[in-house]
Amino acid sequence: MRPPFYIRQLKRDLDTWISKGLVPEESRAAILDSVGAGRSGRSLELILAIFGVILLGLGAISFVGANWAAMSKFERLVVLFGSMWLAYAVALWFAVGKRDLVMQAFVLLGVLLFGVNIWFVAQTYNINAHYPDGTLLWGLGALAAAAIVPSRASLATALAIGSYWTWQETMEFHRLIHAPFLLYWAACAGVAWMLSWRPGIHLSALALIFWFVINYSGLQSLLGWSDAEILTVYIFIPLAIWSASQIFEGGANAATLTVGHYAFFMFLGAFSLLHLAETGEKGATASWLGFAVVMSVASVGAVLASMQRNASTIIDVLGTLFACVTTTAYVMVVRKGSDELDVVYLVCTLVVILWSISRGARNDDRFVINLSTVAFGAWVLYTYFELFSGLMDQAVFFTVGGILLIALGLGLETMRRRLVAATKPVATEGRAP
Amino acid sequence: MITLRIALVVALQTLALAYMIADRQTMLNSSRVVTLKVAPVDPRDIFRGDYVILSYSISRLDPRTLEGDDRFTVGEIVYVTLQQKTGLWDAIAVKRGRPLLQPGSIAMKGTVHSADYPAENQAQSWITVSYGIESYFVPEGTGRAIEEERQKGDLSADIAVDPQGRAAIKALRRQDQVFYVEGVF
Repeated sequence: MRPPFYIRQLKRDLDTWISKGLVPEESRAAILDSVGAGRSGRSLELILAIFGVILLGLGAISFVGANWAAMSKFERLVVLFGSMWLAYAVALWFAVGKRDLVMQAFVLLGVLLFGVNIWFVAQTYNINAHYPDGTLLWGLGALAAAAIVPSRASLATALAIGSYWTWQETMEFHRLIHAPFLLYWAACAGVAWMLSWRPGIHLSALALIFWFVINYSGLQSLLGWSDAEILTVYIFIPLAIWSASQIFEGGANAATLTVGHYAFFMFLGAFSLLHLAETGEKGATASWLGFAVVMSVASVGAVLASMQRNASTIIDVLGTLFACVTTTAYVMVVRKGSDELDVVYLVCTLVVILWSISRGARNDDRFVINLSTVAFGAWVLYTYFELFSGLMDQAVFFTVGGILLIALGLGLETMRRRLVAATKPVATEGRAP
Repeated sequence: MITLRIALVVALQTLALAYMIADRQTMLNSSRVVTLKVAPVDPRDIFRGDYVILSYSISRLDPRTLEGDDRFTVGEIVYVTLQQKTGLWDAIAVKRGRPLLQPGSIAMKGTVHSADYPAENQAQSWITVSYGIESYFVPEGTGRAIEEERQKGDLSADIAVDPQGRAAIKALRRQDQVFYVEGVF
């Protein structure tokens, strides 16, 4: 699970180390091979094979569709089952010939044809009761192929099919909360973990976020909370996950880092949008308040735990606490239709963005820094175009804000230099002259 | 090893497809069969050939005139109790849970597809229920002919109902004469 940026950096570093005589040149290829570099040719083979397989699949579907009416049921079954078996037979042939990547492509073709067969069998036998079950069956078939063969492309397909399944159940059949998807998702995420496939973990995280988002209305119907209260679910839970992810070792390849990144993405997005959601007419509901308190304690507790491992500082405790208190206070104080505190909330959003940048910088986490920077840009644009009606108000807001930020930056840098200076004698103690 | 793994995937996927067919045949072989009046329309699926959309007398129900529950939400599972009236079958009750059946009655499981939204404490004036028997694929070119039968009011369908209340179209009738029967091959 080595990310591309790591391999690019390693290649540059190796060249430097070789030129300085730190690493023998003949070790370069072995080192790169050990981290999975230099496989772009194999990737190209896989990509071309998968594209070919998709075209083959489309050709097969069109052929069956074109001749469908003229076939008897028996002939249809021969074509449907035969094409699927043929795809797997070819996969087997390539597997025996040690052409693993092409084998993977034909396993994917088999999975695609399995899905096609489900729909054509359903059509042939007029099976049309609750069609999302057909989608689920297809997804389970793809997941089985992903786990048993094993096949990464099938896992990606299983996640895409599963997301479509939960979309059908939620949007077309109005399920309040489509909880069975979580079981399906857990199985997919487990296979991604088992395969040590980084994009699979990314796709799993995206699928879960997708499920969270499309269940917004269902959550609201179930809990009877206001829009803003429901949106805080998308703030508090990701914040707790992001905080908890800091407890674990955060190496560049750790899955917890990926999970933490997606949680941070969701947290910052939802936090930035909270002032746009309608609050309740009578303030916060008691059940929501309980939820907010429990989640706040969990988030702050997780940051405190990560402090024990030096992954967080007191700034992160304060930042997390600030985010929790701001969210809770906004929902409790602001009444439906009121926008009087929008400016205050936007200032709080800026504070959270700045804290995120600071946390990213301290942990050398580019994702958090980059996303926070994007959020800052979006914040500036929103504030400029939407918040103030008068140019004078804008001028005052941005001027004061700019001066405060520069002062903060200078103050923090001065503090950092003093701290570094204070620790220097200790750090150099015992070093060779 | 990889041979066994791929063979296992093929076996599982083949079994799943075979189960779909076997399950449908088991339903069609059920001795519980009701005949319903149908009113098809004929949209055309350019990809898969012809199919007819079938609407039944039990597709749109007025809970106020039926026994059972009065209010339903979209997506809810309901059981519609049917009884034979002058050859054809019609709804006598609609409930959320499985009903206790009188002799000569059959319960069919459906999903509320749409409903009116009455004021608080008022019964719904209508709900539409889908049973999984609303579309029927026919050989290309025959959809129009079936629709013409509908225009004459001569079309009915034999519906097999399994013990769980799931329904499947067993045959189509024109003037009480079977002209299309579902089979394995």
